[in-house]
Amino acid sequence: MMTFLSPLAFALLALIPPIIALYLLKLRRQDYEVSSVYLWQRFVRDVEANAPWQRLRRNLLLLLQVLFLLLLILALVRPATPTEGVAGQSVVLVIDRSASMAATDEVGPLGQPGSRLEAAKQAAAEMVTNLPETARVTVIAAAGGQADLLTSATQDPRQALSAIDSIQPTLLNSDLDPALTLAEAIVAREPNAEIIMLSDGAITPPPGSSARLVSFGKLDANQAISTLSISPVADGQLALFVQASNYGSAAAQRRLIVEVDGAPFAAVDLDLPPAGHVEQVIEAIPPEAETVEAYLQPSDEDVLPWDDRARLVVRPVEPARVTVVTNGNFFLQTALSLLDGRRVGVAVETTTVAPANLLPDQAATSPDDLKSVHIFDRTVPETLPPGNLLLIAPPQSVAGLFDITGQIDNPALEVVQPDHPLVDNISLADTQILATQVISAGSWARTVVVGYPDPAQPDSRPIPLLLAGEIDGRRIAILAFDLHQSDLPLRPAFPILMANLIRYLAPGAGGVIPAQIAPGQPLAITLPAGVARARLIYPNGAVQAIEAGAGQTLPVLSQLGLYTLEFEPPDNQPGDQVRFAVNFFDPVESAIMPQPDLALTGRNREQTAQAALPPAYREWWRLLAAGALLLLVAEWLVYRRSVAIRWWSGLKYRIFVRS
Amino acid sequence: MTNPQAPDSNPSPPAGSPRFDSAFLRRLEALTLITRQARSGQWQGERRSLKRGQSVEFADYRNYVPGDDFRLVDWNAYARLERFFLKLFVEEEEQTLHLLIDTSRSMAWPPDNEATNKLAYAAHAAAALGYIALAGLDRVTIATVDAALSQTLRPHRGRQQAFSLFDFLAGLQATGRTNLNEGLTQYARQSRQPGPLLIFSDLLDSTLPPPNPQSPSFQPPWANGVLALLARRFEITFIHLLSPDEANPTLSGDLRLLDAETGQTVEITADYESLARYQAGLAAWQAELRTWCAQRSIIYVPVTTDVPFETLIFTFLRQRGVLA
Repeated sequence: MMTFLSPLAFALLALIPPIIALYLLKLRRQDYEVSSVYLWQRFVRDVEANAPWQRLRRNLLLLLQVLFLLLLILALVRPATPTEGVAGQSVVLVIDRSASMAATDEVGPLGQPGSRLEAAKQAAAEMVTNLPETARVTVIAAAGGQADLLTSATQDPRQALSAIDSIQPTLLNSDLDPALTLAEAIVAREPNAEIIMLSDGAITPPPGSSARLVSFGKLDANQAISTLSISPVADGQLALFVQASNYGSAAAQRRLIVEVDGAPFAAVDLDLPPAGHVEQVIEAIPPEAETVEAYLQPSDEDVLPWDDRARLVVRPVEPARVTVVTNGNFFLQTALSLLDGRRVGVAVETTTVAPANLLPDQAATSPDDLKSVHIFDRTVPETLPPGNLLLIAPPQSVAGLFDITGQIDNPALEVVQPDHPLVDNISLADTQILATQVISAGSWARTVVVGYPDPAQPDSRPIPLLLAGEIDGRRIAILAFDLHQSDLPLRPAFPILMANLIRYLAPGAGGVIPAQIAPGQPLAITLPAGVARARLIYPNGAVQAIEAGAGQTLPVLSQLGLYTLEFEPPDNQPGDQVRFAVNFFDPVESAIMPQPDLALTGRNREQTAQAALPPAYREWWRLLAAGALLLLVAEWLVYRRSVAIRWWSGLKYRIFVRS
Repeated sequence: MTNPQAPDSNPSPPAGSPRFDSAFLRRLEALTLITRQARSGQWQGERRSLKRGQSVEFADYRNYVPGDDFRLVDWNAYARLERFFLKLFVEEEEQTLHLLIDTSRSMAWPPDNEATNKLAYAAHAAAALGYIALAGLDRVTIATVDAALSQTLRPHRGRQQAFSLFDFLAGLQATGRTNLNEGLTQYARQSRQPGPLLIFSDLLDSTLPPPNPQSPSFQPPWANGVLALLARRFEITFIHLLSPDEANPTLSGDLRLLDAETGQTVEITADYESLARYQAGLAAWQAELRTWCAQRSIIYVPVTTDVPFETLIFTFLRQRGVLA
């Protein structure tokens, strides 16, 4: 629906009749003397048709002049069509580049299937193009809790366009909160500003956002491999557990293909119910397998291919060498004897030594051995042996590590670090502790489980019960209470806790990094003692060097696939290597159903109400003015066409004849 | 369309004295006028005459009649046949070259450019041709034609008279309106010794209403005058002069054209189409003239005045058999 922003200019139409009248009245002719009019009379006299209308009929110049005037008037009345765009003087474009935006259910610029991100980028570019010239544009690319400010309040549309063009899809989730918060902060300083979020709506909106959502995405057809794990079975073989999920609203049939060490191993057809999942166990995988890859055969019914493939690194269970220094602890020894590698994936070779028999140099045989742990049960040696340690109810302080400051009774347990590996798969609720040491550790230790001295007063100062951390290149875990003073050893959690402790303290080469991680997950690794440098080999073959250092953070891994971390020992020996997989297991991102009706009404909604902004228009006067200019040129050419044609033939002569 | 305004009587500036250097004159002397017919002249010359005379070239015998000069009797023939025969020789006499120059106002064009001025060009060409004739022991007579026959130069003969001829040409002025018909008819009537006749004119003669160009029988307005000349057995050559701006006009816009000669006006819108139509019409007109002339054994030489007149003399007129 076209509107005219300044319709008064239509009054200029009154200029057209005078132009025609002037033509009719025939302007005074210029006098020109010639030798004789004889020839002109003979040959050109019929040009002079005397009827005025006859003259008008053939007058190209008049036609062009009237057309020119019409176009000029049309440009002056500023015709405009309402657009989807924005009209504000300042606009913040938040472009979602999360994984779900890579779904190819949109239409690209040439009509081919295109990703949602491509469509969002195109829409953003159109908005920037249609903005008023003085508008300021801020472009924020957002995903996974990151907000990249690509341009800040620029008035140069080319800069904004190139920023928009540079946005690439990521494997991150749709956490747009920081980006929206940033956008709100920018908008708060500017009057007449607007936030436009270009997303598929698969996001969790922050409370009270004033953003306007432009939604992308059409389909929800997506199936994914949502879980992949491997575990040993009785006869030494491995069993692969695959869960395939259908996030779409229609049932789908997909073929699951499993490859072991790059060779096809099994293929299963799966019937996936709508919004449901199917589990499949692939058995008899050889124990010597190193990598397993499971994928769904590509299909047209799946618009997001990233989650159709998952990889797994099979890490052999190597027994940890555990030296238990104790005067006898049945619970501990029983729990360690249960760790045979089959049930919880941890195996130990236990040596029990009485504290009196512990030689100072006994454990020093291989200080950099990743698979040896000392457990000191209710005892602390004069000098701590090298390697990783577990201290259970230490009777006295150790300088530089911790101090014993007292003892309390009946603390109430609470897990304060539920995501710590030590408390994986463990419930400590209702565990009773009769008495425990009060340990005050240095800043190296993280407190995993605390106890409140008085259960009636939960806000009293908690004391640490389970601590773990790294100091001087080794890992130390401290359990503050005596196992005999608690019912913990009688609970199912205890063997699992022991397995977690052994896995934490004797990680082996694979302990440096988990076997499976999610893309974009920040990951701190500690290189094993004696390893100065490591090389990270990407799935595409790229290599990155990693220097040793406490809490070394890996770069954000944005490629899916198998990575290899190679340790370089200082003496140029071929080092150990550990492989791990980056898999896209994100049910929120895999559920790609677009949500156009995302409710973003909040506290700021009223302040930037739609009515406060002028309606957005796309103006056409530039095009019309350009057309008028072209007409003007054409008119001049027609008026001087004899000159123009002569000039053109001269040019042709120069080009063709001379050359 | 006819304009009652009196023809412009102000004479144009004189045509200017033709200046030929001696090298050019020597080149001219190498040329001769071609005549297609032998005719009688007044004086001894270099052209074959119809008369029998005293040259060394044998022509014929004839019977002796009393009163004939004994010196012409061929005694050898008498010795063989015992009859008197007279031996006749070809007489060689001069001819008269007639140069007619149109001095209407339209010939003084373009007024501001001496190099392409039609009258000056005609004067130069006439001077060159006159010199060729004088050098060939022929007589030369010049006449100017405007509304009627206006000036005539008495016949000149002999190279020493060339300067008198040049002076006459230098003093030519364009004054009147064109009426070739009248001028040519008068000249045909009063000329005593017909011969080669060259007419220098732009042929822009608007005295009679121009005939319809669609008419199948094209008839130029000066046809009667030419026919009168042909009846006197003149050998006519038209040198049709057009200035460059007449051959290729560069007008544009809405114009009222003023005729420099008659004061008539024509209103035109000069644009690409009308100029193209003008040129097409001009080409058709020249083609008609050429056809009309060819049908009457008249040599028609169209020339624009930006062509050097040496080219006219040494190339065009030789190609068309006027000079050799």
